[in-house]
This record gives sequence, structure tokens and C-alpha cells, in this order.
Amino acid sequence: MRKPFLMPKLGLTMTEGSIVEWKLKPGQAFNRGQIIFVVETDKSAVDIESEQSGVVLEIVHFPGKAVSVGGVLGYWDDEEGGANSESVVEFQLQKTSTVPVTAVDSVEVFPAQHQGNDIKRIVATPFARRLARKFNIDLHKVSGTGPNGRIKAADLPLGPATTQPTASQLILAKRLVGAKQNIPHFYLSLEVEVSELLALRIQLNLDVDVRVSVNDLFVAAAGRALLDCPQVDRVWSEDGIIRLGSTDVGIAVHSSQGLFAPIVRGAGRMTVRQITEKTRPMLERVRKGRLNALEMGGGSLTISNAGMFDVTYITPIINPGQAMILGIGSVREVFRPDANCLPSLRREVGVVLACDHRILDGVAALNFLQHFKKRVQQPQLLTTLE
Amino acid sequence: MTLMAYAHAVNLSLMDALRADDRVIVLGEDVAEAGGSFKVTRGLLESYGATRVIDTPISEATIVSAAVGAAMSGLRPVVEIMFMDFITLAMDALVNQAAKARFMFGGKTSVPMVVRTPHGGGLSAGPQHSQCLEAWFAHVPGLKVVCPSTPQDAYSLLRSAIDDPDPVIFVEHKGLYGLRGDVDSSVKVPIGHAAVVRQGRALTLVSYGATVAVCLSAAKQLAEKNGIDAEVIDLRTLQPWDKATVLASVRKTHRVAIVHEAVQAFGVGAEIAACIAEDAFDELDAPVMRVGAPFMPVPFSRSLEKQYAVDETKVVAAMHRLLL
Amino acid sequence: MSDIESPLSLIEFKELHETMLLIRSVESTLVKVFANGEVPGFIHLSIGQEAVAAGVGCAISPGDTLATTHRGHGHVLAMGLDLEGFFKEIYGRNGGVCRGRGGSMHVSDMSLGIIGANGIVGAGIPIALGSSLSFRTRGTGGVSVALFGDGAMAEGVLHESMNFAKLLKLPLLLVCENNGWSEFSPTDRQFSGSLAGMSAAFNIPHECVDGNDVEAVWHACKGALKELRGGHGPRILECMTHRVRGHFEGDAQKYRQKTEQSLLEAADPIIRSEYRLKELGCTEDELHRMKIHSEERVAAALLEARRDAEPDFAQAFHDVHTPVPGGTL
Repeated sequence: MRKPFLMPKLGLTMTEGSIVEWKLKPGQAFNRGQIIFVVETDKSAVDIESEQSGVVLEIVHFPGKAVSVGGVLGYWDDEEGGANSESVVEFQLQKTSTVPVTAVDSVEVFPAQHQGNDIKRIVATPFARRLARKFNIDLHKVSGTGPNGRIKAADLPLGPATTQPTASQLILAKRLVGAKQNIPHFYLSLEVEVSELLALRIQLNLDVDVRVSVNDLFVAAAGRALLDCPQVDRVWSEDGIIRLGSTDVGIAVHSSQGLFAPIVRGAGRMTVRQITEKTRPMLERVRKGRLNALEMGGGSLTISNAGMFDVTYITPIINPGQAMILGIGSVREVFRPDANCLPSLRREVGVVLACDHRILDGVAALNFLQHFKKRVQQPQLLTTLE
Repeated sequence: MTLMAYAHAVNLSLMDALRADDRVIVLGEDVAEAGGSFKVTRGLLESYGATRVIDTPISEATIVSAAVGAAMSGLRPVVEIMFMDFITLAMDALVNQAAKARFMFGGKTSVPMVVRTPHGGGLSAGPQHSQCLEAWFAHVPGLKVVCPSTPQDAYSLLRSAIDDPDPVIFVEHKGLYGLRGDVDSSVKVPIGHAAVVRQGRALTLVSYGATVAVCLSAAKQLAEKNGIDAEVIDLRTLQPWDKATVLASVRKTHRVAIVHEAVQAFGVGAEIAACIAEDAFDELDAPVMRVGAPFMPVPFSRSLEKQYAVDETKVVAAMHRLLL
Repeated sequence: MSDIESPLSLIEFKELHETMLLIRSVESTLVKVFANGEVPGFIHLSIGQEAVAAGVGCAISPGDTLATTHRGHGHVLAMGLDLEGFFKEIYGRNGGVCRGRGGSMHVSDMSLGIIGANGIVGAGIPIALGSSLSFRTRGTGGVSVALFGDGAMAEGVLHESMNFAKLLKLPLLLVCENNGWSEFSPTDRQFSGSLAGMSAAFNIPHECVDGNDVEAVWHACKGALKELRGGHGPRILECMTHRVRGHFEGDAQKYRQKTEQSLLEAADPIIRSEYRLKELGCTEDELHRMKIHSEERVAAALLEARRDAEPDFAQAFHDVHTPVPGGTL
């Protein structure tokens, strides 16, 4: 009996499809279960296999032509004789690789992601979705770093309202809070002329491999000032006020790993070049986060040099365990009246000395500050040991 | 406040309960003369006599049913089942009788009894002496299930269980009997309240019994090595469990794992995970995880049992997965 | 025959008879309404066993407790369970003695000393044991009675309870209603021993009575209870009786011989009791009036049950746990 091949309904909403490929030619016999042709819908490609055996008679529609569901695609003979019929043949759908198929008449073809259909399912955690709704973020534009590319809250462009402090952040916070709560700070500030210092630096750096930095010079000056004023080289401790006399000077360093304060031991008894030789490798190690315990801690003073930024004064927080911190601002060019009341160009930095009032009184602090200023303004002496 | 072992805390709780209320009786196999196979009931017979501290024959079904009858007739019996594994013999008494008496008799009676029983492994006690079966009872309406992890909670929760008008399964851990901790007998711990034993923001671990300490160790490890701060909740009661406390924590951390020594499949963690998924879905930034024992009877061999157990490594691994 | 101080008075005998009439009327009514489809679930009737129920139920004192079985209607009615509340419970209504939560197999009232009717065979025995333990501990002089059928003889908890009760000398009376049938099997195919043999094994005094002779049951029970109150330890009373209906209503009893049926009628405890009461001077008229009175009571209670409201579902949650003052769960 001659029977038609009809376009099958492969999805609830399917209205038409097209043949991708005929697997057989007219005149070819087929068995039950053999794939006759492949149909493409807007969602996927489906192999259609036969429930019965027979022979292909005629192809009506060739690949690419859109045909309505139920439309005739071709004809075949069931080899059972009898009158021709236009009745619908039962076809059994072949499963495609990812499409779940149940019964012929109730097939809902689900789009498989790798088949490149137009519905893209976003994989995101419920929390991420909630935040995206709240802040109007389009999740299509967010790439997820969770398993299977899952979008998590942390992947959203806005930072979450609260972040987790890291262990080091917590430690630092504790130290700073402690410093502010326990150390009675007072502050003295001065403008210090640095033209000579800057000129000396240029001179020192002619024809050398390892260049002296401005900071090295400040460290040297501070160290000498501690040598000049041994009475301020002291620190407060639970057991009492400890006299150091070591002229150690700390350097506040910001790195990607956090804030560090490596110590230059005995800076007051070193030449500026010796200081440079000492600090270069230390700063390298700080950059790599490999400072060792001996290079931190101790000393009565740290220098916090913000000169590379644009700031007049910085008022830093004393490192717990020390007595002073010296904040240095950036170089400012200013005109000041000279002895003849004529304007004279100066190069100055704003210096703020924060002191622990338990140990230092104003007089001692001022005295130290004046010595520091003197040392900075007489930089030549820093190149030799006295 | 006194430092004492968990077993001693249970003992003290029973002593104090026997003194405070003369309706309280203690019964079980070898609880009186021998003081209990784990010595938990030592001294009770000497202090309170054979009318109130009773050695029973090996008849779990009958002794637990007898507790039901005694409880319905004015006493407050505390029955011991020597190993939780043997509670299987008393299932009718607990599930069909104790749990249902109040309900099926129209709310006109109650069954103020306690079944005390040690669960848990880690002692090479083998498959029939190491099980954690508390999930079965948490599944039966009418029963309450309590599982303290510290001597203080053991003391206080047992007093609460004895005072409770309904049947309470009081689950101890045989491996925790030697655990020492401070006990203040004036501290009251109500049934149904969890304790946040470690505060944190990165993720939540929910646990009970012996694995609470494992969670705390894992949390410490992750804090020290990775700067990750985990919150740890000790449920203390499994039925009814403190959903409010757990959900509040999930709303804070958005990541949660439930950890218990009992078999993971169909365990207490499964119910809690489902409730979290249902009631805190929009708070989750990672799938809800569970860490429990594999689907296997507790093996005897020390090396096998070690691999079977829920340890710090497994909890840490789960924590890392939560953070992916 | 146990020796007791006072014999059964005529008034007491009439009370026993009235109790039996009530039970018979209730159970017969239930046959009809169950067949109509009005009653949900299973019901297990005790027609033919009224003498055990009345004899035991009326012999025990206030303050004693009794645990019964799935076939407990007669026992609880003999204990004085509210008739209207009983019917409402059978119908699953809000006014039922268990507020519709339990049904036929669980009809009870703790305030009357009924510590439960149980759907689990034998389960009431250790519960009654526990109750007797409570009496001993508190020294109240009370006694607990566990009723069970011969089908429970194979249950482990019976053996365990006999052992335990004997060891502790508990005031526990074990009453076996031996009707020869364990569900659908004759007892001799279910149990290889005998209750007498088991009692001997545990050294518990065992007495056997004609369970269809209400006087005999009453006397035996009274005697046993006196011994129990004296602190002499548990006793067993085996009452030989007949179950007229099937294991449950709807059971066609194809497993029973037709000849047995005629024997049952001859053994009817109510007929025998009527005969005895007439011997003691009661008139036909009086007996007839007693019967009518029972039937009227039953009819009235049934009417109320049919009218009563269904229980409220939300309310049922309140009965899962006992409310704790100041605490919510």
C-alpha cells in the first residue's frame, strides 16, 4: 500500500520544519527502526526512524524546504498490498544526543546548549540573582567564576555591600586601633628646605649603579637626629620606658601585600650610601612579601614619606611599640622673603612629627624636630660618619 | 562551676533529677548494681535505692514500653538503652506507643519519659555497636530528639528532657564520655535551641554531637591558613531543630554545610538542607552541602573506620567546595 | 475459685448484666452501621466475649489501670467510658474520646484508668507493666490489668513482661481472653505451648476460668486483685471464651466451621447470665427493661455521633506535643 511520509510534530509549539537530509533514495528498502530522514526545527535536528519496513517510492520535498507539520514529504510502500492510503504512519523518533523524548504525540524538545539555540540559560546562584535584581545588573553581561561558569555574588560588577577582611587586614586593623586608643599622640609640624638635599642627591647619583633615594637621605637625617637627641630614642613598654639608643629608623612601605615597616638598624651610625645598600634589598623583599622577622619591629621612629604623591602634610599613626612617626609631604616650590625681604625660591617639604606623649614632652620633641631639620638642611654631613 | 567529664555530667544530672522530683526513676540493663556499662549511672542505686534505680532483664522492647506505661501513670522514667544500635528492639514502644499516645488518645495524656542511649563510633566497636540512628526518631511526630556535644549541655539538656512532658530520646556519644568541660548546674538549656559556638562571615557549618569539635578544628585551620572565618552552629536539639538560628546564619554567610557522624544518605542533614533550600533559596551563593558517613555499615578495622569517619580533612574539603 | 470476703451481691450482678447488655447492644449496632459504610477504617468486635469485659471491668477499682487491645470496645465500656464519646470516636468526630485522632482501636480515657487500646498485638502488656511499676514506686496500692487475646501469646513482649513483673513482684494482672482464634488461624496452629505452661515457667500463679460465666470471671478477678494488692507479684487469669464475629468486620470467616456457630449460641454469656439472675429472683420484665434501656442509650449516643462535627485539622497539631509553659516549639 502506498503511504505518505508526513512532517512530524516534534514540539508543542512547532508549526513547521524542514528536511536536513534524506537517508534513503527512491527504490531503497528500509527496515523497522531504520532512519529515513532528518528533520530540523528551530530548536534541533531530529532523526526520524520508521516503525515498519518498506520501500521508499518518491521524495516530494528536498532538504531546505520548509514544510508545515503534517505536510507530505514523500511516499513509501508498505508492501502489504491493499488500496493506497493517506493515513498517517507511526514514526518513532530517534533520540538526539541531548534531547529527552517520550511519546511521539507529546514531545517537548528541550534545547541542548551545545546545539547553539537562541535560548541561553544563565547559571547563577540564587543569591547572585537576587543581588542582580536588586541592583539592576544584566546577568548576560557577567561572566561567572564558579564551577561550570556559575555566576556567584562576587562576580557581580558592584562589590557586595560587605567584603570579608583578610587575616592581615584584621591584624592591621587591630594594631591601628590599638595605636590610636593606647598612644596619646601629639603633633608638631615644620616646613623643611630640601634644595641642598636634592642637589646632593643628584651629585651622589652620578655614575653609580645603586642610586641613593630621597628617602635614604631622610632616613640618614632622622638617624643622625636620634644620635643628636638620645633622650627621644626611647619607647614605652609594659615594663617601663626602654632606652634604645640604637638609632634604628623604620621605613613605612606600601606594597600590594599591605603596609610594612622594615627597620634600618643603626641608621644614625651609617652613611647615606650604607643606608642605600641596606634598604635596596629589603625593599625588594618587601615587594615579594618576604620580609623576615628581624627586619621588622623595634626602633623608636618610622618615616612615612608621601613625597611621591601630591600632599602637603600627612599626619600618620605611630607604630605600636615605637615613640614617633615622621610624616613627610611632597616637595613644594615656594617663595619666601630672604634677609633683604626679597622673594627667594625655596623647595620645601611639610614635615609632621607625631609623638607618644607618654615618653616625649613638647620640648624634647621640638628639639628632635629641629635637629632633623638641621640635618636635612646640612646634608653633606650625612655622607660621612662623624 | 566544676570541670568534669561528659559521663560525670550525665551522672550528676540524673542525681540532681532524682533528688528534685521523686517521680523520676532510672531503669535499664546493668544501670543499678553495675553503675552502667559506661559507668554513667554509678552511685545512683546507693543514693536512691532499688525502688527508683532498677536493673532490668535484657528485654529492650518491654523495658521501653514499661517506661511508656509508667510515664502515663505518674512517673518520670529515664530508661537507658545500652547502645543506640539496640534501640531497634524497642521501635514499637517508641514509635507506635510513646510517640502516639498523646495524639491518638485525643491530647488527654502525655508520656514524660526519657530514653538515654549512647551512639557513635571511633572505638572499633563494630557495625552493631557504633551506629548513629537519631534521624529515624527525628522523623517520628511525637518524639523529641536531643544530642548534646559538651558536658554542660549534657547536664542541662538532660534536666530539660526529664522535665519535658513528652518522650525525649537523649543521645549521648560513647566517644565523648571522657570529654572534660565546665559544668554549672544552674545553667538551663531549653530543648529546641541551637548555640552559635563560633562566629564568622564566610560560611556556616551546622553540626551536632561529636562532629561539632571537628567543625571547630576545621574552622580554626581555615582561619589560620586562609584567613577564612567560618560560623559554627551546634544544633543541640535535632527534633525540634532551631531553624531560625540556622537560617539567620545562612542569611549572613550565604554558604552552608551540615556535618554529622551519621550516614549522610537520608540523615538529619538532608532535612536541614531541604529546608534551607526551600526557605533561604535566594540567600544561597553555593549549593547546600552535607558531610556525613558513607553509605556503609560502620567497619570494625581501625584503618577502615578511620577512613569511614567524618574528620577535619573532609570538613575542610567541604568548606573549600563551598567557596568555589 | 478464689476466696474473697464478700460474694457478688444481686445489685452488683445486675450491674454486670447491664454492662454486658450495653456491650452487646453497642457491638450489634456497630455491625449494622459498619455494613452501611458509615464507619471508617477497621472495627474488631467482641460479641460473645462480654462476660470477660464486664467481669474484669467491674472488678477493678478506681485508681487501677487497664490496658486493652484492638478488640477493646467491651473492656472500655465496662470501665465506664462515656458512651456518646465512644460512638463519636468510632465515627471519627470531634467530640470523640480521642477527638477523632485514634478511632476504634484506640478508644480510651486516662481519667478512668484506661491507659490505651492498642493496635499492636501485645503492646498493652508491657505498658500495663510500666503502670504497675509506677504503683509500686509510689506505693499507691494500685493494680494494673493487661487484657490480651490468645493471639498475643506468641509475642515476645508477653514473655519478657512475665519475667520482668515476676522479678520485681509487680502488681500486674495479665488477663488472657482466649477465644481460640489468632486473627484467621486457630490458636493451636499459632502457639506450641500453653499459657498455663508459660506461667509455670515463670512461676506466676495461673488460673483458668469459664470466660462466658460473668460471675466466675468477676470472682476470679477479685481474688487475683486482692493477692496483687498484697504485694505478692503478678498473676495470670485465662478466660476461655468465644468470638462470634470475624477478626474484623467484613471478615466472612470462611475459615470457621458452621458447627462452631451453634456452639457459640449455646455459650452466650448473656443468656447464661439471664438464667442466673432469674434464679436469683429477677423477673422477665425487669430483664427486658434492662435490655431496652441499653438499646435506648445506644440509639441516643449513635444519633449524637452522626450529628457531631468533624475535627479541625489545624487543631490536631496541638496534640503532637504537650504545650510547655512559656515555651514554643
